[in-house]
Amino acid sequence: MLSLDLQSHHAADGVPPAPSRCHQLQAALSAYVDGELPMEQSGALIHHLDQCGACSARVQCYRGLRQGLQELPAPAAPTQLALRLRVEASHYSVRGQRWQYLRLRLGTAIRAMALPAAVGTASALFLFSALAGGVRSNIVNDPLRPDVVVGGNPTPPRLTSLSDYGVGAPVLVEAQIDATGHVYGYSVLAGPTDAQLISRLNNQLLMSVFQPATTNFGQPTTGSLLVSFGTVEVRG
Amino acid sequence: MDIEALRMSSQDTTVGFSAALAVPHWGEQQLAAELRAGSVEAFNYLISLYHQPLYRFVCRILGDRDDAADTVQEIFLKVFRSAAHFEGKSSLKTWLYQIALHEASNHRRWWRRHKRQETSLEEEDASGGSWASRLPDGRESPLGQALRNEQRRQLQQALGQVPEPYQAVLLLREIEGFSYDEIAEIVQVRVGTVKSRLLRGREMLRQRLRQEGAAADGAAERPGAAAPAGWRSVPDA
Repeated sequence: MLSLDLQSHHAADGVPPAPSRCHQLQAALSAYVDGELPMEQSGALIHHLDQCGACSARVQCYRGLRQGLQELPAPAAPTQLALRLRVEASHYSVRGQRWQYLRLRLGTAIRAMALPAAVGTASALFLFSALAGGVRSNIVNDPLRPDVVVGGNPTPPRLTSLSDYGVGAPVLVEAQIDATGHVYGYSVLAGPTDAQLISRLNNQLLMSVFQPATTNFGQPTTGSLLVSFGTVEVRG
Repeated sequence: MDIEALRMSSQDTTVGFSAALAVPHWGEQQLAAELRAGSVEAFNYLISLYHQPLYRFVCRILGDRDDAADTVQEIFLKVFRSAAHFEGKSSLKTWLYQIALHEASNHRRWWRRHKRQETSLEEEDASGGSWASRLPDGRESPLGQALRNEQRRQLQQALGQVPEPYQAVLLLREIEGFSYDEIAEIVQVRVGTVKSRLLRGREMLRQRLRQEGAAADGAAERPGAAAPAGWRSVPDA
């Protein structure tokens, strides 16, 4: 039952209007009714309420409003509302399960394709590297096409056996050696360049055997080599 | 009010249906985890716990039972959709009321734009009370009963005239019993704003009741008639 004081109306009409300082306390009165006023402020307010009829009546008013609101008849939800909500929940759950099922199927399909895809990729890489090696060896076999040194430790060409022709004069030659170890060109850096010497030099270089230069992968390639010829006089 | 108490009170008011269900005893943390996982049992449990309080809350904001039922359905649909993203920063109840207030406010705005001029052929009871509230309790005289019903009608009418932000805060505090901090979370304002809205809401309600009771005051002065309620008795500051 409402506990509002029905008989206090006329008595409360006699309460003098709240002074302006009480107007400032309205927020505190509201918080006090809610039990949300800090303890240190509550004490002072209670003391004020003992002396101020207007504020005390306002507190009673707020409490009466609360009780009146709490005792308002609560509208009861329609009986079919809970059923409607449960049906919606069920539909939503089914939709969620359908989505989870699709995600599961997608995940399974991806997992099933993962191994073949990995093997295929590895095979493709292996084949590519093998083919790339073959292409490289073809390029190296071209004696006039210098190879591109990628890095690592390439080796220069070396002289393995010298022919017995002899040059007969001191001369310094830079010889270009192809990937098969043969001289395909040379230039005289120091020494005489007469026709007789050039003829002897041609024979000497063509009949000598060289070890070709190698790339960092051990593949033979073109290179240049400095060859110095001298004369040895044996006195006997 | 904790979940267990809410569960008891909600089951009491649900007719027949939820009583037949095997309702699990989940704590808030567990219920939130089950909702995130999309458990249909958790949804059903949530419905049995909160459909009645939320309906009551929304019905008081909208003032229309059919609209309130539709809005509660929208609220729960939103809850189902967004349950996976509930982070647990606030309590489940606060989160639900936050959604409910948002939906009710949206519905109210829509109603003001589109439905204001429609007139229902099935006029509701002016007091808005349930059948149970209108049954005589056998402890009160017919005059007292009539007086109480009149007070309720006036209060209900005055509450409906309080502007929305103040009305929502009043309902959340006075009827739903939320603390200032919880109301601040639901309404998404600062606690200081909650305090000022509560004060202004109470003052507006008191003013409306004074205006409502002006006519009744004249009748009350007649011999034998009861005086109006004490909530109108405080003069303006």
